[in-house]
Amino acid sequence: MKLVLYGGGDSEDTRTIDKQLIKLSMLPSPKVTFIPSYSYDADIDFYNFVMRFSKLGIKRFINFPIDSPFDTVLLAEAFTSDIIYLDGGNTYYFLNQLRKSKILPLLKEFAKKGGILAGLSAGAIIMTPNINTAGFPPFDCDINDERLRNFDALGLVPFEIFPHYKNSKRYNLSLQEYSKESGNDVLGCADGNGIIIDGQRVTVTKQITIFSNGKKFSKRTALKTTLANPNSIV
Amino acid sequence: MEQLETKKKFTYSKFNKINGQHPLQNSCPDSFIFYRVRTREKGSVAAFNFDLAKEIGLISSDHPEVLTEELTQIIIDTFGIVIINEYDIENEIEFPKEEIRPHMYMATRYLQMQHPNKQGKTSGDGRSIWNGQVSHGGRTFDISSCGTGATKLSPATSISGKNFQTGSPDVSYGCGYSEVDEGFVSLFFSEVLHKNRIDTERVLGVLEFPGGFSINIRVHENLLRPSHFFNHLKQGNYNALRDITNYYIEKEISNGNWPDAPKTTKARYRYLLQKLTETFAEMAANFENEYLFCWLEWDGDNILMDGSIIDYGSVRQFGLYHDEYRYDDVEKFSTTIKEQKAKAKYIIQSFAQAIDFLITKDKKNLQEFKTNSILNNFEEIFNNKKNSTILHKIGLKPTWVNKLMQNDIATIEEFRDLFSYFEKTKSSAGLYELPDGITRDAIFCMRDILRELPQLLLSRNENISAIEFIEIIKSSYANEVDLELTSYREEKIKNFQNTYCKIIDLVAHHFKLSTTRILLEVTMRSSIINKYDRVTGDSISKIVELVLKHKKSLKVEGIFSLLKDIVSYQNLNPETRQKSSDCPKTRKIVKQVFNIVHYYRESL
Repeated sequence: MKLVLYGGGDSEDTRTIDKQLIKLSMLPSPKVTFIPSYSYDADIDFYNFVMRFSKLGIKRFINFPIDSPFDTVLLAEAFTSDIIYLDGGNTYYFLNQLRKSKILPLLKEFAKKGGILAGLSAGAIIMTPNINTAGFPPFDCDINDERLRNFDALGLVPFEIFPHYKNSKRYNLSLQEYSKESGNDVLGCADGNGIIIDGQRVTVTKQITIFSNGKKFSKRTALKTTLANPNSIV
Repeated sequence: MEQLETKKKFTYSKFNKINGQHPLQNSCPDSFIFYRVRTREKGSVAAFNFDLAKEIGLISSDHPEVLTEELTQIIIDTFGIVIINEYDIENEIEFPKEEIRPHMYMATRYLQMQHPNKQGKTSGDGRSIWNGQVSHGGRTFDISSCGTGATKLSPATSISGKNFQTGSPDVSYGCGYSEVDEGFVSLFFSEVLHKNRIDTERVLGVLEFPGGFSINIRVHENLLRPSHFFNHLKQGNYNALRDITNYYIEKEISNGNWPDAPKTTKARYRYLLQKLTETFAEMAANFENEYLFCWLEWDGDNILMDGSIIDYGSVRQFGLYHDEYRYDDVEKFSTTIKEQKAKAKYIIQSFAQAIDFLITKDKKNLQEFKTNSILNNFEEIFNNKKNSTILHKIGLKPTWVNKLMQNDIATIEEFRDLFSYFEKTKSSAGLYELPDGITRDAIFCMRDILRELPQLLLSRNENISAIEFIEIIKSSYANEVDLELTSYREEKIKNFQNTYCKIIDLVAHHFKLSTTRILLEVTMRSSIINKYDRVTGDSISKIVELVLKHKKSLKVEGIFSLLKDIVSYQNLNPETRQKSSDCPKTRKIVKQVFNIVHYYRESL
C-alpha cells in the first residue's frame, strides 16, 4: 500500500511531504482527488488545495465533498485518481460522513488496489485503526457533536496517529497513558511532519515521537516495534 | 496595554445627530409629511450590525463587537420612537411632554400601485420615518426606520378613508408596526447580497418590543426610490419633480459617485438619465443572472435609485431559474424574474418622460417615449452585462472577461443561448400552486455543471458524455420524462461543451497561456462562484427562524458573529472569499444553517 499521513500544518509546513507524495505516484502530474472533511468551506479549501499542489506541477484535481449529495459522475471520476487526499477537520464528523456516504469501503479498496491515500490531521487519523486520538487530551480535542460511538476507522496502518503534536509535559503524559490503556502505539506527529509508507518501505520525518505501552521513544527505536519491517525505515 | 484598551472610553456622539433632521426637508417641501415623535417604551436591542455602524462612523473602527450598556442605551434612545399620528391628534390623545422629541421626523411621499390613487397623492412611507443622515469618510448615509407607527400614507388609510391608531389590531400592515422576523430576514439577506456585490439597503439594527414587534433600522447612501419622482411626474408637479431631481443629483455628486457630472442643469438631467439607464439595465441583468426576484413594477417602488434592493418582504433568491414563479399578493400576482427586465425598462421610459418634462416644461405622453433612443442603450447595456456575467460564471478572471468582451461576442452569445436552453427547461409537471404563489419548476442546476465541467475536462482531456452531463445538472425537481435524452438535447450538450472549450481556447490564445492553465484557474474560481450550497429565499427564512429560536442564548454579539460567519460562507467572490471562523459558541447553529442551505438550495 502507498499511504501518506500528515501531522498537520499549512502549505509552507507541508511542502516537503507534498513533494514526497507526488514522487510516490511515480508520475510527473498525477490526478488528485480532494475530499474535504466538511463542505461548509469546501470551496475555499479546494481553492487553496489547488494553489498548493499546482505549484508542484499537478494539473488535474477533483473536488469531492462527501457530506453533500454528489452525482455518480464525480464519484466515478474521484476513484480514477492516482491520489486521494483526505483533508483535516473534525474527525468525528468526517468519519460519520464517510460512513453515511458509503465512501469508507471504497477508500479501503482504493488503497488496497494501489491508489495512493493521503490524509492530513483528521484525514490521517481516519487511515488508522480507530479515531480515539481525536478525543484527547481533553484540553485539545475534537468535539463529538455527532455523538459517534463506533470509532473504528480504515485500519490501513497498525498504529494510531496524534496530529499537531507538541513536545510538552501534558501532551506526553496524556499520550503515554493512552498508549498503555489502548495497547496501540501512537505516533505523535507535529505540524509539517508525516509518515510515508510505500509497501514495506516507511519514511518518517524528524519530529515524530512514538508512545508505546506507556513509554515515550525516539522514532527509530519505537518504529522497530511498530511497523512490520524495521529494516526499511529511513 | 491590553488593560488600557479594554478601559478605553468610546464615544457615541454621532448618534445625537440622528434626530429627524434631513436636508430633503429644506430642498423638497412636497416630498414628505412631518410627524412629531415620542419615545417608545420597553424596547431592547435584538440585533446590531457593528460593521455597518463602523462603516458609517457611528462607532469607532476599533470598537469591540460588544454591546455595552452605554451603546445599548444610545441605540434605544435614538431609534426607540413612535410617531404621534393623525389618529392620536383626532382623538386628542395626550403624551407626557418629556417623551416628545424636539424635532419633527418625515414620512416621504412616493408612488405605490397598491393605492387607489395612481398618481401617488396618498401614498408613501406607511410605517416608516426617516431618522436623518450621517456623514463619514466623505460620504453621507440616509437612515430610516420601519415600524415606527401608522402614517396616513399607508394603503390601509387610503383604502378605508380613516386614520388608524398605531398598533391597531384592526389592520395588519396598516398598523404601523413591523415584526422582528422581518428585520432579521432583511439583515441576513441584505448582508449576504451586499457581500456578493448586489446593491442593497442594509440593516443597522433591530429593536424589539413586546408582542414580537420591532423597529428595523435601514441605511443606504441614498434612500430615494424612482417612485419618489414618479408621484410628482404623474401629478405633473414640475416644481416638486425639479426639487427632488436637483436634490438627488447634488447628493450623488457630493457623495463622489458622479465625478464626471456636467455643470449645467440641463446637461445634468441628461446625465442622470444616462446613469439611470446604465444602473437599471445592469440591475435587471444581475437579477436574472443571480435568480433574484424583487417584484419590480411600474411604480418604481421596491428599488432604490441606484438599483439597490429595498423592502425584503417579497425579495427572494431562487436556487434554479424558476422564471414562472409569481408571488400572490391577494389582489394581484407579481411579475416573474424574466418580466423584471421589461419593468426596469419601463422605469427608464418614465424617467425619459420626466427628464424631458424638466427640460421642456411640457409634460408629454409616456407612450411618446416608447421608442426613445435611451431604451436602445438600455438593451445594449443589458446585453453586455448578460455577456460579461456568463463569462464570470464560467470562472474566468476579470481581465480575461474584458478581452473576450472586446473580441469574441459571437462566441459568448452562442454559449449564452446554449446555457439558457438548459437553464430555462421546465418540469413536465406543469404549473402548480404554492402557499404564497404559483410556479413551474426549473429542472437543471447550471451551477453544478459550471463547477464540475472544468475539473472533468482537465481530468479526461475530452468531453463528458450526454448521459453524464444530464446526471450532473439534474435537480430534485426533474422526473424521468424531464430527463429524456432526445437527439436535439444531445446536440445541445455537445454544442455546450464545444463552445465552452472554444471560450477557454480563446482565452488561452489571447493571453498566450495553455488551455490547461486556464482550466485550472477556472476550476479554482468556479468552485467558489458556483458553490454547491447557495442560499435561497426559503433558506434565509428558515435560517432566521433558527436564529430567533436561539436569540436569547446567542445575545446580540452572538447573532452578529453568526451573521458574519454566514456571510463569509456565502461569499461567492473568489477575490475576497475567506475561510469562516470556527466559533465554538455558534458551531452547532452553523451546522444547522449548513443543513438548511443544503436542503433548500434548489428552491425559491
